Amino acid sequence: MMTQPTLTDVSNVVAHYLGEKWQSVVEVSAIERVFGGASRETYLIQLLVDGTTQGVVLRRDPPSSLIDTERALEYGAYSAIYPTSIPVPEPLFLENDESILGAPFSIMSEVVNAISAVATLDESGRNRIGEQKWRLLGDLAAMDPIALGFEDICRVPELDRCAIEQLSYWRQVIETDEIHPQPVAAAALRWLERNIPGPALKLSVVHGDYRSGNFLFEPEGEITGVLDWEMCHLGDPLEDLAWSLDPLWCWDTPQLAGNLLPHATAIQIWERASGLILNQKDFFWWRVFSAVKGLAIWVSSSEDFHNGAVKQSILAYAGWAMTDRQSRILLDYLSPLSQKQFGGPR
Amino acid sequence: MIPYPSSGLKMLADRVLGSVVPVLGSKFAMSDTAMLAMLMAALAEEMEFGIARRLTDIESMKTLIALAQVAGIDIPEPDSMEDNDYTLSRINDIHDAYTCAVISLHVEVENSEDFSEINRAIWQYLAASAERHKLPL
Repeated sequence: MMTQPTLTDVSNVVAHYLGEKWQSVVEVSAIERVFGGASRETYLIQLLVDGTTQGVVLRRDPPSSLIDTERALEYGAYSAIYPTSIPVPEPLFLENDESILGAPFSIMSEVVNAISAVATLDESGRNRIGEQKWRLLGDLAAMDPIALGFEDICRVPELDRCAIEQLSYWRQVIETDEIHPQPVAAAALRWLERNIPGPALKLSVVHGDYRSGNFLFEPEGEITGVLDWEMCHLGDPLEDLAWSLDPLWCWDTPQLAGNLLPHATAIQIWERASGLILNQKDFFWWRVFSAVKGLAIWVSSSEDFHNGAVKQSILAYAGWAMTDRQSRILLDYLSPLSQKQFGGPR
Repeated sequence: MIPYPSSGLKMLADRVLGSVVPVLGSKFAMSDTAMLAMLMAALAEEMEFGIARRLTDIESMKTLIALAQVAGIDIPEPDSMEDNDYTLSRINDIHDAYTCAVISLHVEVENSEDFSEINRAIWQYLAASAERHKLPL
């Protein structure tokens, strides 16, 4: 049983695996593991396939992760979105046989010449990438998920159950995984239950983690790959918009959503692309929900670090730092004493 | 003499960041080790102040529960620290018990005009506690 493969292990397996799949001579010319908060171990691999250079990304299930997700759902989402106008890496193979690499894995094409760090952009770049970021999210919201085949990989909720089902799911994550009681999260969960929003404006594909850092772009060009679909589901499109605007993603520059655009500008772009007009009251519910969902993810990562077999530094550090920040965001949203630094009704 | 644990841990974190990370061979190893060093630095701070912060929280939560009892709200006070066990694990247990009591109290008062002052005092405590425990980044 291969518990934690070395880079050599992964290279050998990938060369043999892809050689058989493609009936070609495949060699690995370079491999590196990618660091990050992703829910899978990620490897960037350069191949020589019958003498031609090709890059692929391998994502392997880890023993512990920030997010407990279904690999089939993630791979299915990439497959469904790939033919659309939303750019995603081409999904190549999903392998559930654990005997090959010690855990299931998927392989996708590399998105070449692309970066994910928006901090490297100047103002013009931030405007360009920001405009694309929220236009693509609006485009995704406007799509018909049934026509894309998502009913085969996701549950299809009723419009008036989208909020309730998401709240129920993330409540359970917090209650199951909290190592210490979370009084701010508890207060926020009660507030969310008392203020359930109206039915979703439409049923949409919800990416589930649409934020700066989860898409790739060419430094002087366009967004070329939207990544990390492991929390994808069908639901209210306001969920993705609220998550993309969570203050956590612009902690040091709170005036710029996702460190890219003013919040109002991002919303305008999304409304134009989606054809939807957001209801401020419902949208505030989704903003509070986003902070609770974020807190649930970080509580879960702390629990993974505490009880899991593999101690990853990112689980401990992100679990600590982000729970702290999400709690302060919720205090800002909900406390009657709040100065409303992050917005919301007084 | 025993070195101050927080100083020792902070020195280790600085040494890892300054001397080990730059000579590592891969981006993954550099990022992973840098995060380990950041975790060490945060733990050094927690080692120095963690117990004091929890004790301050516990005193504040005792005050909230006393306020509730005066107002006629039945919130049982958790076991306190009569065993003089000041290990972080024991303080954490007591802190958790008081936090559960405050959550129960919050449920009782948050929708009642009669208890709006206690509700505000709870929010004030939650904000002060969050500020006390925020990670220095």
